[in-house]
Amino acid sequence: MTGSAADGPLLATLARTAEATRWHRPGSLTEAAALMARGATPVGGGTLVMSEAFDDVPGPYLDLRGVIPNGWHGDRVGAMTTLSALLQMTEGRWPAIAEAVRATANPGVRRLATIGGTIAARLAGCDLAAPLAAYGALVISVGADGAACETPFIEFWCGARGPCLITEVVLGPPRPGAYRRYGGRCGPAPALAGVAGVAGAGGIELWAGAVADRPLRLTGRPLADGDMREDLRCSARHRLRLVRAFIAEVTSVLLEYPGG
Amino acid sequence: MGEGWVDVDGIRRAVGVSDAKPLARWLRDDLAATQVKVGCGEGACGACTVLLDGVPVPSCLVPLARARGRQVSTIRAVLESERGGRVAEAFAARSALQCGFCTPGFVVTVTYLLGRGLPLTPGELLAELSGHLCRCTGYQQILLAAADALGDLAGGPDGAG
Repeated sequence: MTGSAADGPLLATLARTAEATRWHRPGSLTEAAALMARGATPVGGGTLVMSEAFDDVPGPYLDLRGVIPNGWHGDRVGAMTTLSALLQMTEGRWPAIAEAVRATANPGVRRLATIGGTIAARLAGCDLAAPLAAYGALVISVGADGAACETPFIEFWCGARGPCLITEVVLGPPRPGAYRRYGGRCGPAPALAGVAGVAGAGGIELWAGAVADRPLRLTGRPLADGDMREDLRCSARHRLRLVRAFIAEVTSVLLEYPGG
Repeated sequence: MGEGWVDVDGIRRAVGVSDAKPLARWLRDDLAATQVKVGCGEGACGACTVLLDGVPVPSCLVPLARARGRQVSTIRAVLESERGGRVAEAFAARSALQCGFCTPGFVVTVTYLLGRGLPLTPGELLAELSGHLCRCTGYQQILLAAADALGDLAGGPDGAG
């Protein structure tokens, strides 16, 4: 069977559609970076790509399995580590991170979602952001040109950046910590407000998450309604009340640690 | 090149590289595996839970292309296992279902917990099942059935089982 000239636009449309839904499986980080530079969307756990709760993510897609590490690599956590695995890795040594992971979604979603995907998505209601900021985490990433970069987590979250692949995360020194959050109901729900505290030699480092477009450092800083975001789920004033209550609770938990 | 396969309940199925649809949709629409229920489509209700390489996940959040080369077990295969049969019997004995829409997901997850073999307090069992919603609100019987099925693994020290 042969095609006619009239088939041309149709075939071109079909080819575009096929490419737009294509899943690339790069064999190396260099290949992944090159595909990303050509517009492919990197996919960590895939939960945000598929979820009907979020806008359609444009393809083609970049399946990062086998390219980005998972589990421990020295003091670094591979970006493809699932939240479920991260919970086991952090329990006891990074308690604020463990508590934030436990508050994220539900066990089934945590078995799919990755730490790299969670950071890259930068969702407003993310539980992990405040504790990662409080522990002074670092994000290791590779740009489209293949160059590696190490960025403090809070700068990575807040900064405008070009396309990059998160490869690893340094959690920071293990220290006593606590995380408290409220999601509006019992059971899995995105955070309306959360506060992470980490005890260190210089005192308690406090950060609020889910209350603004970025985690807010609370230590030594007066809070106001204007710092808080407002949306259909929660007013700025209520967020402020929640943050104040959580600061008191997290602080009291940390003061109970030996030497606190 | 680029094509692959997914093993579904022991049968190898071919998939292509442009299969961006969710695994749950593919199971239902292409394989007529209607035992996999789709509720919310965003990983919150757990109705579509399957075992992916032996681990329970909401199949509505798994891009089909990400399932390439992996083993998927739906409730059908789970019920054929000794553990799955034990869980199903516990659900039947406790009348732990009303409309039954959420039941496959619950049974898949409880069967996984049984196989994992870790002791669970009632609070931990609740947390493990927090990704499953029953809109008939039959949670009391479901939790009792899950605890029955888990036997000695359930009912630890933080309250009544």
